[in-house]
Amino acid sequence: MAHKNETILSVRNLQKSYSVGRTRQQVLRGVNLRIRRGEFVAIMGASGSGKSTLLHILGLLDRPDKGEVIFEGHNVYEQKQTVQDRIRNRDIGFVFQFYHLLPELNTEENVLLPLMVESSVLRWLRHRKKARQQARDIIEAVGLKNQSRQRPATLSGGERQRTALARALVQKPKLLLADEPTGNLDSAAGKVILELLGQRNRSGQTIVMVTHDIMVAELADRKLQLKDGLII
Amino acid sequence: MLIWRYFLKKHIAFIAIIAVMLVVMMVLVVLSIMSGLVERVRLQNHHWSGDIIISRDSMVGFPFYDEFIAQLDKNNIIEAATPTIKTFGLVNSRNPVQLLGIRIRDFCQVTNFADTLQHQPSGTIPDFTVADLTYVKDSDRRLTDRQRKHGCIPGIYTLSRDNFSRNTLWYDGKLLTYLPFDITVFGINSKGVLTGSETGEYRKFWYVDDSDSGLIDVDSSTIYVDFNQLQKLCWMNGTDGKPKRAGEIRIKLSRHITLAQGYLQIKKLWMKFIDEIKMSGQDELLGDVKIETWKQYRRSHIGPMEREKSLMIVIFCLIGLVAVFIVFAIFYMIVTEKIKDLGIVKSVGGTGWGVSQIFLGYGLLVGLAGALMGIILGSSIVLHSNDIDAWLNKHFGFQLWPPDIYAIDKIPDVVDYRQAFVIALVAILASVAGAFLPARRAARLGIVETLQVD
Repeated sequence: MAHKNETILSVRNLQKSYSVGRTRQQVLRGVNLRIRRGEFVAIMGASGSGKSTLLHILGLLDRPDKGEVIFEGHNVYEQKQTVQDRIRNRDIGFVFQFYHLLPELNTEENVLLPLMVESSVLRWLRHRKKARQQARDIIEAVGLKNQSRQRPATLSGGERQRTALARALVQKPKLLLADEPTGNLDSAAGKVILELLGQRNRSGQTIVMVTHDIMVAELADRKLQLKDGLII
Repeated sequence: MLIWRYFLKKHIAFIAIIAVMLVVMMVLVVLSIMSGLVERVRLQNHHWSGDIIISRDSMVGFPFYDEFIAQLDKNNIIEAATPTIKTFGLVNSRNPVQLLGIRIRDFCQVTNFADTLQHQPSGTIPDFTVADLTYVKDSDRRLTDRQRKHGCIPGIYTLSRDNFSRNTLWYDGKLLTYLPFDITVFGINSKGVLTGSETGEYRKFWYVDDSDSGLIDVDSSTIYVDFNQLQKLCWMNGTDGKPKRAGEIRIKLSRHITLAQGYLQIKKLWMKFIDEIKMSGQDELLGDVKIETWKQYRRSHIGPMEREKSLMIVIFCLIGLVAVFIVFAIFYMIVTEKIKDLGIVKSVGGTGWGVSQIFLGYGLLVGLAGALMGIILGSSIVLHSNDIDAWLNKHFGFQLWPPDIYAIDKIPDVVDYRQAFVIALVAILASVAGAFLPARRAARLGIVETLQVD
């Protein structure tokens, strides 16, 4: 049974570098981090400090060069690819700065995406009604009931981000990661997103958010600073 | 759902479908027509030749043909056998023809000759007797009984060479006029020396009916006459004190014997027969007699068609490869264009295999749609091929399948649906194969790199 304040995620000596021409640029130099269940953590830093890189690694979207990411007691990068895919699908929700919705699908279908990719065709056919209801519930929770049939091109920035948030939450993940969730929104739309995040956290959702905006970071329980590839 | 959205939204996929459709249509049309041509040619050659042919290349022929036929009868391996004489001559003093002397009733049992005749009443046994005219245009012309026995049956296209057609000779089922064929041949004795008259042996034959065997080489150059009459004209009837000679024996095997079995048994019997004849010292013309199956006998007419079919298959396999490449190129472009979408799918937990399934499924749908449309279009073309050919000929003076080149009078218009199924299946597999490498590429994409693509 999960207890609040229990460690859900810990990171040890995380290192990551990228090739830039002929040289390698070290982005993360040995990050150590611990996130407790139900916590809302904001990671701040200047542009290029490695915030998004850190979040991508936490969300299993990228591999570290060195170090460990322990999620619920397991070193995720030592797991098989299928296990990592399953964690990314069910246990971790990711909200991107630029939404990253599929343009050919409408709101409901975008929110259903994690449920669709999880299932085989037969399993999907058996459980699609339940899945659709799950999607509709979360769509209603983020206030997009009337936009469920619209495609992303016809939604505002705020509505797209709420769709992305709904998609990240549809599987009721244990951990929600948000990479500059308001970075591409006006202040009103951004406020709506932050309110939703706050609501979720109050309901027990563990959230790690990356932001460069101090005002946004005020929402969090704990603020961490990333500088020169290290948490200071 | 994603596959359908990609399928319907990406117009470029329709190009892939059209490519598959065109290749399937082309392969089906060509294979159907070529297969039909080959099969028809084989069938018509078989029906005209009989099953086994014993012959000699020399026009001198060989003796003891009736004796050997009696041996075949005794051994119960044949349904019928008949001798023929094949020689060359002139008709109406100008046109060269091949003359085939036949015992018409036996010949009809060994081959499908009766079915090739146009005016013999069905159910009757054909013969060479000229019909007694009941409707005569030129009422003063009548043949004597003797003349009426010298009937001949020309191939349908030899008739047209002399500016006669079937329609000008017949009216309401009755022969309108007597049509003479002045035939000149050369006698040849058992030593292979020309004999008889210096100007050749001449006889006037009279039109009885014409034969349409479907074999252009036969129908444009052959005139069938009575075996005994031709044998006499060619000095092969033993008037030189030597045994009578024939050019060939044509054999129809019993139903319970396969062609290969019949061939071996007849060959064995023939060797035994020659040994018996050798003992009597009269085997001089039997040494180089050959025994052939109908396929061997007519290989010069069947072989080119079969080779052409094989060549067509190879060519269209190469064209099929082009279609595979087109599908590959299109799918590669789609993967490149959709790279971000794939990253999104993977970011929410889509597996590499799941992502590649999107493209393999897409390839499958393209293949299915293209194959289905290709089969429908190809089948329509095949079924209406003769109408299309007639239309092209009428409006453009162009014939797709000239009968004098393809030795056939009508384009085969039957679709082998088993063949169509195989073609469709190969097209679908090829389409999936074309999508395979792009699908693999999609599966191996790194998530972050793909999401950062603009």
